[in-house]
Amino acid sequence: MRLFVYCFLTVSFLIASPAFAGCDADLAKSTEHLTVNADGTVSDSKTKLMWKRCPEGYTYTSPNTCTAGATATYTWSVALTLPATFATYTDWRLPNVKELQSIVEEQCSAPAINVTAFPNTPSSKVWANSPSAASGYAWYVDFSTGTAVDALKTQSYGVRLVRDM
Amino acid sequence: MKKIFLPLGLLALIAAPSAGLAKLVLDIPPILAGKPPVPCEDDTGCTSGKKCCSGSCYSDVTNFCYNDKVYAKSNGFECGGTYYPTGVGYCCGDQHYATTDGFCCEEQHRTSGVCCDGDYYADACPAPSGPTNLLNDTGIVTPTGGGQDADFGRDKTHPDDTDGWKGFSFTSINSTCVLDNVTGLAWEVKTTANTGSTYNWTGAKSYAEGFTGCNGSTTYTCRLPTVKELLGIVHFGKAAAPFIDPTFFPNTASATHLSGTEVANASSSPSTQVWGVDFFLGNTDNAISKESDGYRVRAVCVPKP
Repeated sequence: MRLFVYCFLTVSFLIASPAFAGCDADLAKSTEHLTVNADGTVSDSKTKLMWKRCPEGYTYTSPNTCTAGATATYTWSVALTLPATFATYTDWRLPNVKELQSIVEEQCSAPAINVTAFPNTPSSKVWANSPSAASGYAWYVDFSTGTAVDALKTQSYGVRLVRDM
Repeated sequence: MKKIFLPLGLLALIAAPSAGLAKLVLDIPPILAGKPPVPCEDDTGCTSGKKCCSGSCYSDVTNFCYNDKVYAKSNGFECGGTYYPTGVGYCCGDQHYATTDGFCCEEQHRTSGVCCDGDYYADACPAPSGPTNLLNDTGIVTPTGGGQDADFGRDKTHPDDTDGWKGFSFTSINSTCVLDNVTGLAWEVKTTANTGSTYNWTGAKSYAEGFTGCNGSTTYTCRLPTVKELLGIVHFGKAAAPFIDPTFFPNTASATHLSGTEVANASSSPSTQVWGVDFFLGNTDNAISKESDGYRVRAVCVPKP
């Protein structure tokens, strides 16, 4: 319980909702493999992936803030065209569904992500670059709950870019 | 059933004895057989599709002009700005080495050790002895272009199907167990007799922890997979359910399989719900009551230390 309270206060979820928002345990343990870099990126030593700390359409301000801009959701086809350049790297891309699900933090809900590494993450749906077997559908991860589901590509969802380390 | 940790360095050493002979002919250009050469001063003096090299026309489709000599393209390679026309030796970090002189690993010239799947080891290739934490690719190989899933990952770089669909790499341990060479996890292979069995979470946990089907020369510790591990074996590139490699995971039910991951829900501790993965679609499900019966199970195992 002490660990839970610690985490809850640290993360400071203030969302008033009947659904549970917050984290079950000490997040420090589940962040050991995540290295927060000064350039607005996060390195995952387990999966060998580097992530942008902020979703697309958000502006990163050092050290730990992501601020939403006017547009932060995109249809799937537009999501695929977002700029690949950030923090001296030019190979940012959409993650596939397994990569995107790898940053789901199952100990947390609304958002189901480690907000120390990924600050100001909205509890909303994020596109993967994986088309579904169902025609016209693609996969996304809902960072409210952490579930991976498919939806019509014409839906407007968020985007978080990744690159191989 | 291909193992990915082949000692590539060893292969290089096996291949080495034949190189001594080849080395002798390194600077002798192959003579182009056939018709006498057509004389020329420059490329315009040759018929269509041919170029001029040292006063003679040659076909630049199959041949190459280097230092005023004609060589067959299929024989040579370029290294550090120099063309090695007979293809003898190898290029490593822009340096040319004789075939007998070690091997190239991680773009460095080596005279000892082995190269395992592109990584250098001083002694021997490591056997996968537990989770690597690396992710499996999705299995999606079409459509390509524009930054879609199929443009990246092991499905593109390791498309060999003999060890499982495209980027997947499995090795059969026995009829009830398969090793995932990418993630390092050993998985239960269901049988026609047990694929239909269903459980609630407590029952599934007990089944998975009691699973002994991977044991042989190595003894394994088995448990329910995490939701991430379970999603890792989903084959999203299939056209129809079940969404899993059919060769290495036969008898898979197109139904929800339980994970050991509990759903975040601090208001009722411990959590009353758990995560699962539905192999009918490949989606994850976080609304499974621990008490509900009717879910499938597949144990995951790691070797005991």
